[in-house]
Amino acid sequence: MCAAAAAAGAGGTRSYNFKIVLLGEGCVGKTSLVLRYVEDKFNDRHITTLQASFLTKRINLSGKRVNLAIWDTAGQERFHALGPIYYRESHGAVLVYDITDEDSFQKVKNWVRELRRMLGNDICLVIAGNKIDMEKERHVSLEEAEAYAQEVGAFHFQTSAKQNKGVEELFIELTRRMLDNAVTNDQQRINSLTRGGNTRNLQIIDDQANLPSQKSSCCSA
Amino acid sequence: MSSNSAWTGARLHINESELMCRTGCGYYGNPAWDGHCSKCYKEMVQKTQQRKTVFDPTQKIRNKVSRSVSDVSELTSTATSMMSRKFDRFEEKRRQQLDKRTKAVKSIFRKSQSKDVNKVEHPKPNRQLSIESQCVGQEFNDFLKTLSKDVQVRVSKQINMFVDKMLRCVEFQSVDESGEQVHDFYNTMNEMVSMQSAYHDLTQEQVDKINELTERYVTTRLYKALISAVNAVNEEKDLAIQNRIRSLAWVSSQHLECGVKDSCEEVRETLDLVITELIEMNSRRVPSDKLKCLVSSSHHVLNLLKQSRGGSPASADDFLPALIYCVLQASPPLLHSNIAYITNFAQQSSLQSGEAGYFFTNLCCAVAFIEKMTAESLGLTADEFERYMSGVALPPNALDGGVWLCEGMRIMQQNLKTLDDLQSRMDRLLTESDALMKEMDDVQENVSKEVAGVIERTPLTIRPRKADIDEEVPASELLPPPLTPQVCDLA
Repeated sequence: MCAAAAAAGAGGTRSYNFKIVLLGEGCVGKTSLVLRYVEDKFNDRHITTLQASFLTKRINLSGKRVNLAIWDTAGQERFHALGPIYYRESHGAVLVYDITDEDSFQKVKNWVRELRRMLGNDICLVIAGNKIDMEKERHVSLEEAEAYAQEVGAFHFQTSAKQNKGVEELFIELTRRMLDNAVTNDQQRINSLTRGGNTRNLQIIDDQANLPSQKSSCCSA
Repeated sequence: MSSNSAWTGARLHINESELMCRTGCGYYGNPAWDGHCSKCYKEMVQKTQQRKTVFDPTQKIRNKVSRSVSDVSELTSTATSMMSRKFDRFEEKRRQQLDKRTKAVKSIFRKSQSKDVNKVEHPKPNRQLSIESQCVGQEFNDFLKTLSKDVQVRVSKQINMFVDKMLRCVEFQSVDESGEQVHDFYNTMNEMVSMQSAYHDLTQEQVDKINELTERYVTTRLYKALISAVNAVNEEKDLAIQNRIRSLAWVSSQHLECGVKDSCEEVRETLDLVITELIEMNSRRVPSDKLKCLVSSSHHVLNLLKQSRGGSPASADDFLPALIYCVLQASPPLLHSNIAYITNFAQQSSLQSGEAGYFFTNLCCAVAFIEKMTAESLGLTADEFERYMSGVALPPNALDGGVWLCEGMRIMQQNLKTLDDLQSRMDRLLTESDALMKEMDDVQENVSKEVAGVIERTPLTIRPRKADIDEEVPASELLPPPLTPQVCDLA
């Protein structure tokens, strides 16, 4: 993980590069969500970009420069098996479900289980209940979703790509968590390096060196 | 750092016997080698590897080849190692012949012809640099000249050392090992250039350029050795996917629900562009060039979707099925080899992030999907799928779309269109040339008329020559005044 968030430039100012995968069933609004965030657009007619499958966004968070690369994934069931190829080496995942569709929430649960199994706690998870503008047709209760998110150590956000609610907050929170992760990882790496330095100071005493006839030798051969 | 003080008190007790090799051969062992000495460890690893790969003949050969590296590195030319090296050489020759044969077979199937050119230019890679290598070397040198002398010397020294080292050993080791070495080298170069003080005054663009050119130079110089190793390893997979794609030729865009309207002419043209780029990928030598082909073909795929559906930007839900469809239509040569080559020898940073990385991942997904495609994933019953695969039956709508049956018709139509275009251009050319001809005639006529007029107005009369040449002639009023020396006022 540290390698991907590598230092850029020799001047000491570093920028973090994070990869985020978007997971969720087809038609839950993954694409609208990310387009809303990156382009601040919802209506089809205003969109200039040709594609919404790979988008990048540059942000500044607490004085750190962060480049987000957002990878959309195909949500259809038959592509489910390809998931590992997509989320390999990613720092964060946005799991999107449609609050009017119970099945899509089940799908999110499947993804969470799989991600935790494959990547452990290295990956930051955010669950997004999209389409809150259609509150009347809600089928997934907010309490249930939030309880579940807490249980698996993920953040839960209610979003509406159409009304631009909760989208910015979701990505900011995710980025904050990924930054924390990256900083802790760096710290650990530095710690292990300094500890490595200490082991180099380990004194090696040859038992037989005390005997007069034998000369001291290094055992690192 | 707080734990520093604890170390001074700690004593580790190790017996002499624990330092010795576990097999008891009398040499010192190393914990990193499981307590064995280097020699015993090597033997042990070889034994376990042999056991693992006994079922896979290609693996076995590879191991034998890689073992010869260790023989060479030992530099102990005992009789036994001589024997084994001879044997290895024999094995290698066999492998190369095998390689050549399959290449010949593949070249029959191959769609692009540009690749064969490369082979001809590379008769003796070690003796003389190929034209491509020379070009890349020249480019690198030109760029380095813009940098300081110090950087110039260091960078070129590092790279030359690495290339020489690789040229010596690349043929004897597995692709993974070469890939690891190449990646390590990229990393050391990158660290060296961006961390060390000697390079502090380089801009980020220059650093990027150095990294890019490093990849370009290294892979071009080592191309032949690397690609033949990759091809040899992936040969079976390449053939398998090729056959798989062929037997899936009946899959239409409706099966994949990718919404590509391939009956539309405009869409067909874009599809041709996608296919061209996908096939072109194989003929490039540098991983980043291959990726560029992939990116441009992916952009064409997105274009394709826009033409087919219009409106909203394509998401991955649309993109991946469309890419799968295009790969099925294109049947790019040596697909697995190319993927392995890119994975092993491209700069890791370009694969992990960025557009190229995303599209490359999608290509890998498409290949994985094609390999594992079942009746279920296409929404068919197992029986239907089986019948289509074996060629007993055709999908009901195969004839409506008529995509692949009417390929000839389509090409004919395209050719007719091209001919029409040529005809109209020809017509235009003819009318334009007529006009030009007329204009030239006019000009000639006008000129001769004018000349005649002038001659009429001023008849040529030859006057007797005057004795004094220097005398002013009043008739030369129209001429410019004679040049007079310019007087400079130096004071």
